[in-house]
Amino acid sequence: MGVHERHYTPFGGPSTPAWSRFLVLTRYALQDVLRRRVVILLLVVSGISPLGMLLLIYARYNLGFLALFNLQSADQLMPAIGVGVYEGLLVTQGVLAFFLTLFIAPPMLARDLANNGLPLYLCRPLSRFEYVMGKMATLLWLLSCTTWIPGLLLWGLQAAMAGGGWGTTHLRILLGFVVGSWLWMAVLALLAFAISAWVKWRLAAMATLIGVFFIPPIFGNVIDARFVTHWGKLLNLLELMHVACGGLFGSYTAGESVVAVYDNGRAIDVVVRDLPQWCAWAALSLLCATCVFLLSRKVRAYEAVRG
Amino acid sequence: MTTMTARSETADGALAALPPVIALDGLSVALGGRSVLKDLRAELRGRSIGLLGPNGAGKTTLIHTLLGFHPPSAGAARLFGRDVRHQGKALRAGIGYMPERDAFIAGMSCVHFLCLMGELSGLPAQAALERAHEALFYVGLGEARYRPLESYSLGMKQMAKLAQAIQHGPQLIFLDEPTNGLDPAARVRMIELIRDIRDSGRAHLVLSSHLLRDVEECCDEILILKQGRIAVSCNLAAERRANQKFLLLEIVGDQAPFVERLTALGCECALPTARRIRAVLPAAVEIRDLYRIAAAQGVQIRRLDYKKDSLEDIFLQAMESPRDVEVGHGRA
Repeated sequence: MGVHERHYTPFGGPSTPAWSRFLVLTRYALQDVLRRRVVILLLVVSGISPLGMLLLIYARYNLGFLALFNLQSADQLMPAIGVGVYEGLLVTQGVLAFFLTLFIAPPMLARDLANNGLPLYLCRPLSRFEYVMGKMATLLWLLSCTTWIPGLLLWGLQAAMAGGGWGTTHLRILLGFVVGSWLWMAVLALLAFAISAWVKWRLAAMATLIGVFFIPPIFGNVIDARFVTHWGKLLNLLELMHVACGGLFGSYTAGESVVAVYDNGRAIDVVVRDLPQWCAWAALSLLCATCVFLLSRKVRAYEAVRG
Repeated sequence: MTTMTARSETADGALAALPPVIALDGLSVALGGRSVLKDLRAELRGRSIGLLGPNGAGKTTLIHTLLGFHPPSAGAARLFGRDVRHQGKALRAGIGYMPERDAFIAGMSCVHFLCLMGELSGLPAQAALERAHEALFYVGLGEARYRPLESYSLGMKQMAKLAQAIQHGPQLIFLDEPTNGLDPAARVRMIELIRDIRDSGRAHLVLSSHLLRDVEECCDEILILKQGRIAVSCNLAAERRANQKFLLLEIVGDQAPFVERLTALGCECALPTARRIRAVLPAAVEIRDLYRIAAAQGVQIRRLDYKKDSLEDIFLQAMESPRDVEVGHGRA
């Protein structure tokens, strides 16, 4: 089938390994995503906090630098870099990861579904799982660059500069940062993909994604206030993440609080327990499972219409 | 002559020994709680297979099932002897598919789109790029290959869909209504391309269409579906060869005694209307015998025409037939 010959000829060359085909999707999707200015801007912004923290770690553990300011100890210049700082970094990077997801994920799936592109993908040696993974890998790679990769590098740098077994005594920070990042990435990616699969219009999908994070907590607060409980927090994704990640960092313990409730003008103290960690993990797992189910219903070459 | 016959028999034997291109073994498919394909049984070996049937007969569902999009609810389907359900992914490496509906990947040029499709089919990046250019020139989109797909006209999109179906050089190509929405010139071009692919002998084609002319021009074997069942499965080329010529007579006068005399001569007669007779003449009977009988019976022959059984006749017979199921080769 040469350009000049214009005849049909089969392909006789070697094929690429079957396992690597989904990475083709990742590569093409990455090319598409990195053409957008907003994505580049967000990636640049996501580098600011880790860079700042890198300077902090350098300053804290560099005696030459401290000598410039005639300081005996870094504690005179800045507080210790521990769990709180890493948790703060995770929150900052998590917010940026949310915005990255908001701009990257909806067009990826929604455009293919809106233009009947799925039969073109799925008539090739590519499964539905590989299709979703191929697209999702692009998002996960960019989110990784924003979240756990900088966290891991900073922790490694601090462990190397601090010495004296800092790394072994602060392994929980590493665990919290990496596992917390992956949990957040999984929730964001699955939620964004499930929404884009069902809401095929990009802007509507973006609005829905924002709505999922900010509308259910309002109902949660109403439930909490009406029934004097903390179970309404199960509808608050950010709260669930806070509880789960706090558990990973070892900074969260479920406690109790006393709330005054007025009954016929009389004040009654009611003890309300905080959300247990297992509840947060269970709710997040249920959310992820629901997203996988929703994706499996929509990512099909053709939909069968019931009736 | 003897040698030719022997060779032909050997070739036929070798062809029969090969697994059929499509084998349907009691295939049933239910979608949305409704049975769409019902107990399909056939073996299709043609180079170019036509799928015919009225709207809703199950043509597209059959193609989708063969591509692994829908799981069979009963029975099995095999392509080149391999089960589509269990070996679907491996099979799809050698399959090209041109969907019926408008389908494209937005936000990329046509050549970029073909590269993506080629690489997903297993072509290395360099080969995918080369063959993308070749395929686009082959289908006549060479000059427009850097334009975004969204800017293509319907006819150009059809050609782009054909290009992505053939780019990786598959051994089996499914074309679902390839001439949909094409103007006459574009239709002719599409048919020419399909025939060129068929004549290259390097790929089998399955052409689904409700346009009999498209199938007649491109296919050597047909499968006609009716209400999810096989109405006809036959080799069109063999059918054309085997079909005897028949006469279409238009007469004025008493039909019954005239037909009786023709039958007595050994003619096979059918009476589509009160004034028309379709007759297959035995070798010994000549036209002048008909005029002689007509004169004797006081019947006027107003029109006499040679007709050949066309695909349209086969199709109409299949649609009118009260029987729903026909198994294997041969007509209902």
